Amino acid sequence: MNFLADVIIRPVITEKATKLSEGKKKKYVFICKLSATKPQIKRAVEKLFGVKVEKVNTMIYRGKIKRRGIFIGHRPSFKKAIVTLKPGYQIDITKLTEKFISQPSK
Amino acid sequence: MNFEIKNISPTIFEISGSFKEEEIKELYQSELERLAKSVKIPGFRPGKAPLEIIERKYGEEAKNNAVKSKIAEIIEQETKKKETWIETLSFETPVWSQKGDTIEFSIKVEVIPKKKIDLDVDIEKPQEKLDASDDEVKREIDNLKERFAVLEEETEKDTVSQNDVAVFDITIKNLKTGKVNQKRISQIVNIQNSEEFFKKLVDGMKINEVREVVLGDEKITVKLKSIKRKVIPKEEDLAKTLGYNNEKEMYEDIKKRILNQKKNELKSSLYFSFIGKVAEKNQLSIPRTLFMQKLNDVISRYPQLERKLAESQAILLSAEEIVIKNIIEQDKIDISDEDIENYIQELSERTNIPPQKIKENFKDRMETLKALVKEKKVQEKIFEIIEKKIS
Repeated sequence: MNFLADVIIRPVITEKATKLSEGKKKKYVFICKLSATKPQIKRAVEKLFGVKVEKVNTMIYRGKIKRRGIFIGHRPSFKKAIVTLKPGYQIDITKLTEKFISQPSK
Repeated sequence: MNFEIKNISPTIFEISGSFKEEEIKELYQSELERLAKSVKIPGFRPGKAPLEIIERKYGEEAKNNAVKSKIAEIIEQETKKKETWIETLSFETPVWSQKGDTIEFSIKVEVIPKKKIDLDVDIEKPQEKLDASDDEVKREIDNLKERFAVLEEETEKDTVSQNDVAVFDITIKNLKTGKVNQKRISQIVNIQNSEEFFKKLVDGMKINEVREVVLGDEKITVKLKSIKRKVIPKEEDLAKTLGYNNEKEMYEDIKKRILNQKKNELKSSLYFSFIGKVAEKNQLSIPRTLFMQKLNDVISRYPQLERKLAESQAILLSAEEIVIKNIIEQDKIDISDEDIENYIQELSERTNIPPQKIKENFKDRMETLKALVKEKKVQEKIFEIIEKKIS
């Protein structure tokens, strides 16, 4: 079972993600827990930022296999979610980062 | 914005005061924009990160820079007014804190203080009359003879002594590696000026004789090729070499040059003794930064000068600058375009650089050029005062 606070790990703040948030349809990118479902992500964003979500698109990035000499390991997999808000809603970029200030970066 | 200026020492002032945060809003914004262009933030290409993110990460730094710029602005304005000081030499990092929307600051600045300079000082009349004696002229001619001496082949001698100049082939071989480190063919050596071991090695050598010496890991082989003789030119020949028609003309010109040199030396010594007395009478305080600048100048120009002498020279030069800058303000020294032209012409004659090139060099630094011309005008005024006093 996923608690709402555990669903979203951190927002993605890059040039591309900023561009998405500045478009006609406000879209925000988050790194989420691998087991999080779309409805859970929707509820988490609505609760955390007080907005209405139109849709959620998710994708799973498989961790790359890394080899160091004879040892083989892999980087952790993660789920990325692109959350589209309903018209008239938007999230302030400073608020977006403030909520996750204590979260370790990727 | 309100601030007050407190005198800590004759050359150090403390400016403390406060201003509203709004006053640095523009500076802060431009500082953020400047940072946005240069800083690298992960996920963004340089200069592409939004200002909000830059503000979150570098807001403190931008604010610090904005406050510093504001304080620098205040200092510049005060310097322009020239009410308390003439020129700012240096300032410490400002101390500032924010209370609500008010920013309080304090900063210490070292300056050339504004002071009324009294030039009415007594100066001693030089006792000796300027003259170039025959002995001095002869000494100068002897020096010139030594400089223009030529080396000729010695035919009568076949053994070298320690006072000769001779031509050698010198080979330096490393005994450990067996390699030749240096090979000098037909090297002219003034044996008198060479090292002690070399003097001993070559003493009494005959032409084509080979001698060797081992020094540490190196073996030095020397072969004497020929002995040279220094031929000092006759006065007649020297005069022609130097471009005079005859010896008399050379003698007169050298006498004139010596006299001119002495005149300049006397002028300079009178000038600096006058500056010293003016500094003493007006109780001038020398700012440390100015003194260090002048000391570095003196040391770089005369590296072999004793420290104490260099320091006293630096004190005089600092006092000169303080006196000149204050007189420029006091007497409202003004310059015309003609003065600038004359100065450039004079500079060109002194340095052999065409006036056009000097103008190009000063193209972006017109203020510096004007300051130099003003300084020269004040120096001329001081020379006039000195001349009046001693005549």
